Amino acid sequence: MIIVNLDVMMAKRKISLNELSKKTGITTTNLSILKTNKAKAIRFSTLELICKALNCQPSDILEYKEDK
Amino acid sequence: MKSNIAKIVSVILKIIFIVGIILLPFIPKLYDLVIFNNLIPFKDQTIFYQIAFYLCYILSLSIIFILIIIFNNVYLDPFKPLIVKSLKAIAVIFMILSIIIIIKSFFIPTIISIAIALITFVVSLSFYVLSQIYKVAIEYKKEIDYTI
Repeated sequence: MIIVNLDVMMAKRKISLNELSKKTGITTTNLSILKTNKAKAIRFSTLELICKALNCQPSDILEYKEDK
Repeated sequence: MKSNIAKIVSVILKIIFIVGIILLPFIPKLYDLVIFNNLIPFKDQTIFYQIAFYLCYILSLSIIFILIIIFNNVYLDPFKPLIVKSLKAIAVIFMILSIIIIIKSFFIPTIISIAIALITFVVSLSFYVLSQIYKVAIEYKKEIDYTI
């Protein structure tokens, strides 16, 4: 399964959900869905916005873990 | 937002349901009024026929009741699992109706009963297919909702 490590990157960059929401224009609700790994899919445009705001690569946010 | 036709249909369904419940105790009289002189009066029919007739009537009322529920909910939130359940329930009720009419046709075979049995059977299948389509639609909606 694909894991979204948004919370890890946010902690590394010391940025809150509200700040990230303001920087990216993505609603806190949607960011929360991403953070809690409830999202079914992510658009390239969303990924781009997050990467731009957190100054990171998509691989820093997305991770593949084998299902148990 | 309900269109004018939808509002009219909603009112018609409610009227049919209320009138149906009010007329429930007067079924024998209504039967004798509607069915013409060449047939046996309701009270002289076999007990099985009377039970089947009441059962069909109640099942038809329950279909209308479920339709009212669907109609009220579809404008609030169309992607509710309740609608799938309701559509499935209608499919099951139509199937029961079809079975009752098929059994009746064995004892009193008429072309109309056989035709009605076939129609209710097809309607039941149609409602089941519709419920499955709706189920898939809800799954798609969930995926879209969780696509960020």
